[in-house]
Amino acid sequence: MSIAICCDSIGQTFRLPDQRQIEVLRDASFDVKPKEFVSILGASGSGKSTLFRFIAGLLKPTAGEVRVFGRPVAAPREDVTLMFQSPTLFPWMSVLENILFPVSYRHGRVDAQSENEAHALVTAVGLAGRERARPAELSGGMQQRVALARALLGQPKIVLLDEPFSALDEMLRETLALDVHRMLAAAECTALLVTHSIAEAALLSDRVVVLGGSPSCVIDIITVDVDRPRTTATLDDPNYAAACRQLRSALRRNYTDEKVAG
Amino acid sequence: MKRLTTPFTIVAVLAVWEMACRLLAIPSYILPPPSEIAVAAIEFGPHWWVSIYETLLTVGCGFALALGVGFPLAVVIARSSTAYRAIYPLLVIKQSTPIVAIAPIIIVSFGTGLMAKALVAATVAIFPIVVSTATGLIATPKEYLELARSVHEDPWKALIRIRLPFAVRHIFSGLRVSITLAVIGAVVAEFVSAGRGLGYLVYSSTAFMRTPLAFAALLMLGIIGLSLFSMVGLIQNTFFPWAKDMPDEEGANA
Repeated sequence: MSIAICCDSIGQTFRLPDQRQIEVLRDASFDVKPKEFVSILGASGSGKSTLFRFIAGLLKPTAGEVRVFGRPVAAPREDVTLMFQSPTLFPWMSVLENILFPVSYRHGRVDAQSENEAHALVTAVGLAGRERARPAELSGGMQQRVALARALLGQPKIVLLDEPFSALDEMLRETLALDVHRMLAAAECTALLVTHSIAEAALLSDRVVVLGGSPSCVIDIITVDVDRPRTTATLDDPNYAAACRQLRSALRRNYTDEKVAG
Repeated sequence: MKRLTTPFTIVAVLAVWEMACRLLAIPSYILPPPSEIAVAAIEFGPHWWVSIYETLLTVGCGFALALGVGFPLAVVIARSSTAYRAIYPLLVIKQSTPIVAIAPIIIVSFGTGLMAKALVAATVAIFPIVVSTATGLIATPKEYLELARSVHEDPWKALIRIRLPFAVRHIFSGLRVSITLAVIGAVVAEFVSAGRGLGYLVYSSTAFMRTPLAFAALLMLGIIGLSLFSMVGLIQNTFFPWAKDMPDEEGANA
């Protein structure tokens, strides 16, 4: 049980409406250990979100296998939760109802324990007193905090994050990213972040899986040698700067290779 | 001042209309002045209720029929691309055929009772319900559905708990158009077959040169259409106030 997520030689080929086939991912392999924070970094169209959906059990790869805690992923798992690029809050539900959505949707009712946990999560994400508010009454950052609380409900073992900060401004993105990191660490969750931001990947991750090429594959796995907890002080850490340089270099090298190949 | 713009415009139009009729000595069987229309309306007195009730009954039954058939049809279309390809073209063909051409055939087939009139109203009112509902159901953001799937895989639950609430705004847009079309359908049905109702009143009044009364009936139809249109909006705002804050189809809360 020393591996939380194992992507084993993952490949994905899509069939276009005109029957042509397009290979987007080839032989992508990496592991994520329990309680580790790993990012998948790559340019747009590199297959990051496709990998995210494989691990979430929303899609099945055409080649290879994803295993979560040693078991092949055939469908979404109860102990794996998601956070998307947009907050994905339902406008017809209040903040509390949105947080409790996984429980109410799965079981058709909400038990007292989940409700207590949801109230505690509202406070933990800094939205105490806004339980009855509708999503439209909240700012973008607040909405993502609600999405974070929803992802943490039920003490999941793994939280998958698909560019959840990309729609936010720079300062809010940094603050929220560090809050997410702190809360995931406190909840002892394994986290997998999909991002195209070098700074975000280096700030939050223990390791970064870099995707590149065409079809996309894992071109590097870089360890970020920076102590936890990650704070704004991490931004001044020389190892953080070194990790950023390494990541940029890996991406640029690949980008140059692609340009030459093109 | 802005709030007075509409009443002021209406009063101005009525005044110009009244003066034009009097100054140009237009016969009232061609274009009656507003004052004669008002007199005709008052003289018609309690008979209004019979006509209004008859037309509203046809509109209500036709609208309910359109809703009862159109809503499940929209769900089927949204769930199956085969159903979409099979049903949608037929609906478009039906919608592009004028209701005045369809109505006599329905009356011949189903008689002259309420059912036949409601069927005429439903025939014209069903299209916006099907199109708007199906569009709303199909437009549900992918991330909403993926989030639901990540929790529990159940397409019917997703339909009830995710797709339908998301489609509320689209559904009510369709209902607003549909209710006004149901009024048109009811009037056409009354033109073709009825012995009562506002449509029949317009038809019979013009036949007997009682043009002011025909105008009054037209005005009444306009008021009914506007009231029903506003009522649908009121229902939406009362029971689904969040619908006006719905995200665009492109991204959920983005």
